[in-house]
Amino acid sequence: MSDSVTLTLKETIDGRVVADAIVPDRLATLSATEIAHLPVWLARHTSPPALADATGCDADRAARAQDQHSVELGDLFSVRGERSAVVRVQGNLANVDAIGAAMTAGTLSIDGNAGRELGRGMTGGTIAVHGNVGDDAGLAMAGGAVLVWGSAANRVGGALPGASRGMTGGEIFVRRNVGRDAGASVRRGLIVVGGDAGDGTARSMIAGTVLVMGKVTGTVGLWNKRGTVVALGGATVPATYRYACTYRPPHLRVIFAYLRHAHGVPVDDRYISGRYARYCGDLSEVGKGELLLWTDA
Amino acid sequence: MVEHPAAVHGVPVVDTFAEAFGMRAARVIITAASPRWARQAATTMTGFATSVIACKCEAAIERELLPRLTPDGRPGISVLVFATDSDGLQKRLVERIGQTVLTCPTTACFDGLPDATERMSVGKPLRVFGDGFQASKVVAGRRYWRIPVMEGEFLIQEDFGRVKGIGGGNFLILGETAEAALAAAEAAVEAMAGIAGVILPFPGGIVRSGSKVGAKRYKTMVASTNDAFAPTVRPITSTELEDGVNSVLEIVLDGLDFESIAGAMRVGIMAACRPGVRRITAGNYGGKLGPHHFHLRKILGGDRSPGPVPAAAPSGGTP
Repeated sequence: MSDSVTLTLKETIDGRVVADAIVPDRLATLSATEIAHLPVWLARHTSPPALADATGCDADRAARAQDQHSVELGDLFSVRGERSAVVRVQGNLANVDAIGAAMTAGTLSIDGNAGRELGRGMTGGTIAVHGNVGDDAGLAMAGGAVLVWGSAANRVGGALPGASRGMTGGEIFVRRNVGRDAGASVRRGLIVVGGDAGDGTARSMIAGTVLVMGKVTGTVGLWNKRGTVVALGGATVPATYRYACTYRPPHLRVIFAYLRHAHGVPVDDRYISGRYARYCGDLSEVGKGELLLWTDA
Repeated sequence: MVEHPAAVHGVPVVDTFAEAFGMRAARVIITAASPRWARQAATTMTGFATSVIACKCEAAIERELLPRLTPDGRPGISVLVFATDSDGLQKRLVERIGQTVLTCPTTACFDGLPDATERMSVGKPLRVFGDGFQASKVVAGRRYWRIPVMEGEFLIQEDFGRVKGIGGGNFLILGETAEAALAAAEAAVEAMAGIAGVILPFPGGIVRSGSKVGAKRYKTMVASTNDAFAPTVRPITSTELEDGVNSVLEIVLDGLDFESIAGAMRVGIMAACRPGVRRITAGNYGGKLGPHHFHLRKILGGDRSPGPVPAAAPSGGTP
């Protein structure tokens, strides 16, 4: 048993890799040799395939099947350490997907970028990415924490294809910007965006909290049922929201205090003690959601 | 070998012990926009909570909290509440927080025992005051209820921790005059103020009417005056008071653990031993009722460990 397991990418990968074997609680039970023999899926195409043509048929499927094959983790990464739930991954993993999928415990640190579906379906533990992440970070996660020091692409905390609910628990912190549909269909949990958020933020949100410390561009909170969207840098209030009052929401102070003390997130005092305009919505839904816009008035 | 002093500043300390009982305890953190409103809510919440005999719980302010020590970064007050059983403690919290903290401007209410494994539902039953407009938020794994009120919103944590506590630590100050006894008791209370894990639930921390179990004349009374320490009836009862003692005051302490109470008693007794005080003693029932015994001389010697049960009752009882 060692203090940690370190995986170092040997060379740049041509194609995409589905590395859902890189899960700390799984590696915690394995020797270095066993870790190196874990299977990962390698696909040689660099962009997502079209799932179907206009007729509904997946014309590419046979060709793609030949292009996807299983390799061993040790073929792509050098492995140092064993039997530890503290895992460090080094290298540019922008095209390595599903790292930390279904993770239940432990710590996973990525020194560089990460690909799609980071922490997919995770229920516990912490993933820290010292770079940017691709689409679908925290996809359908139910617990634990994802910390991204750079930016995240689209659908942070979103739902699996066809699922009615996205994230159902846990926390996602993105220090910089997020793309489209952050927090879409979220049922429970906290998403904090240190920068700006794109179009479709909190779309079809069921409950939970999305806190954007920058500006929200495009639509926000459409079809929101009971969720909270906080925008410190402003947002365009949808027509289906109604202004309620301007006040100091007490729960925001708890969230900000938690962000400061537990995660070292810099939060300006004016946001903590400031007042927020509360808009109730989406009134095309149950209308128990809210949009809280910081105001310096 | 620890030396157990028989006197402090020339004031004799009787070789006896205070007998205390197991209770259930909770810590409530009340925050507000200003220290004034946090204290107002805490003072109102802990009113009429001197003794479980008639108040169903014992409660008082534990200490003031700086903003950096509270969950929402505002000025706060820590309150300890004690009851004889778990169900009773939960009911008292719901009643008192619902009527005195929820109603007080700018306040929010948090659990002060987050590590306690036993949990009580407090915010959850109170949430229905929101009549369906309430909403919950989970932050750091803890659920909070947001209850809309006319002022804005009341925030309260869903569940509160519960631990085994101790109620009934005490010592008696036997003074030459009422003024001397009061001055000594005030000095003791001031010295004990703000000690973590301990409260003094009686008015200003001082009891002038220590009681004994039951009554000699009235069979229905649960408790009646501790006539053994009442100077006005000294010649006509079985007294514990010597000539020259004309007033007795008692300090009662409840705490989260034995060490906290023992430490506070030591500080309080040291402060109470001053001119005009004839003797310091404590109330007990011969060690037959309460499992926690605070031996005064051991405590003064710096020994905070629970001692063995003595064979006989050295002084009169004060529940």
